[in-house]
Amino acid sequence: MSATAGVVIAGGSLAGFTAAEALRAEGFTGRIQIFSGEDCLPYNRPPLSKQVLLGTWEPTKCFITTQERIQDLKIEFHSGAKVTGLCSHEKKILVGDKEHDFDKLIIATGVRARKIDKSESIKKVITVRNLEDALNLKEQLSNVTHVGVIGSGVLGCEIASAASNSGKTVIILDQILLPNLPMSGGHISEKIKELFTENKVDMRLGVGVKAINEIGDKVEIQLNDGESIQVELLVLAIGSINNTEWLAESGLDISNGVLCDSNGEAAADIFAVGDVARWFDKRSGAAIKRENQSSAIEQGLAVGKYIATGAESVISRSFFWSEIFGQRITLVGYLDPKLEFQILHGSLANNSFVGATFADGSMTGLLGWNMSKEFRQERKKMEETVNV
Amino acid sequence: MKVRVDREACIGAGQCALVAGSIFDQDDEGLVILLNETPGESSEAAARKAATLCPAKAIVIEE
Repeated sequence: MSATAGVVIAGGSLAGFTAAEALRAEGFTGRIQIFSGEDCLPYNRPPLSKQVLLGTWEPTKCFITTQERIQDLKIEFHSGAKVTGLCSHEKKILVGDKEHDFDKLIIATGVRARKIDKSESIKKVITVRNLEDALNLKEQLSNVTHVGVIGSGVLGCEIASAASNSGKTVIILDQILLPNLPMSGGHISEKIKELFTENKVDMRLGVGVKAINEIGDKVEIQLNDGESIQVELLVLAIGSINNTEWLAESGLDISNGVLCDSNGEAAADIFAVGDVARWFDKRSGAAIKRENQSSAIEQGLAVGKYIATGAESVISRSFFWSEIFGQRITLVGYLDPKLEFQILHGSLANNSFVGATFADGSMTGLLGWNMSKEFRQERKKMEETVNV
Repeated sequence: MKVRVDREACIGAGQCALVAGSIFDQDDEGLVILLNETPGESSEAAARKAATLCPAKAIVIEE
């Protein structure tokens, strides 16, 4: 181990960069190196399927930092430098054919979009995960009128909504019977479905996809029920795969992301943050994968602080937001599907409400629909009254 | 310290008002309202935390 190896961060997106900033904010003066597989500055992902896709933002607005700030913070940021291996015992990572020593390693390599076998070679079948993907989708959208989306999760809903808003004919397909946003326990699924119906998006649920074929310049989707649908562009929004292949020989538990304790430590001197990490959660008593932006930020802050000072942090409940057909949805905690969804403010009929689920008198999850302020006020009560 | 907010970027998550209620509020639509452009030393840490946690990166801190 070299005395000057310092902290090495594998992955240069939000969680990794936030950890680097937190290290400096907490007084760490040693060397910080970030190795990012992408060719650009760290950026924020949520706007990709929102403002960037809608065309209301220049892509550069997603960047969360500047070259100057990176220099000011004395962070060595290597872009286009994908980390390919880890030797835990020798405390080295591999980038291409070059080895780099570390004193502490922060794994922040994230996840990538899941694809469907054999559809990868079709140019008109795309996934959206990084900035390049979002710009590709935006460009491709401008040349077509019929768009298919497979997956009715949050990403699929946002993309379908953006495509429909720009005048496209959209069909959204999923095996599940109702669309389901993360952490929402299905409580607003009917409402989301109504929203798509009102906006004339064809939502075909409860049907599986058998095959995807390229026919001329169209994409044919063969469904399990025998029907075939043709679109000009097909977007796959069917979940993610952990970028952990490079850790295969590391000895870490990567059965579903990198397993960590409640401080984000996966093994001695090795930490993980962001979408790739699965931290032990003291509230639920289980290791959970969060895969949302606010958790990525908080984990980055927590690990930076822990390495710099040894102080432990408590990660807030998961917070998630989306905008679908202009409806602003915010959610914190977890809405239990088995509990009653109680309306606290407004009403579903008016498209403006705050609702929650309660277990033993304590709020487990809170959802706002076009009611940000009331949502925040209830959230404050939730944080104050429930033990963390 | 000087604080700036970008109301066009703001998505009304309310993270800022939650962690730094003396500096940020929300209007009826939930969008950020800057209450204090130049927070004193005692509120600087809270302002920084709000900027870091903002999901829309709509808060800019100038030292």
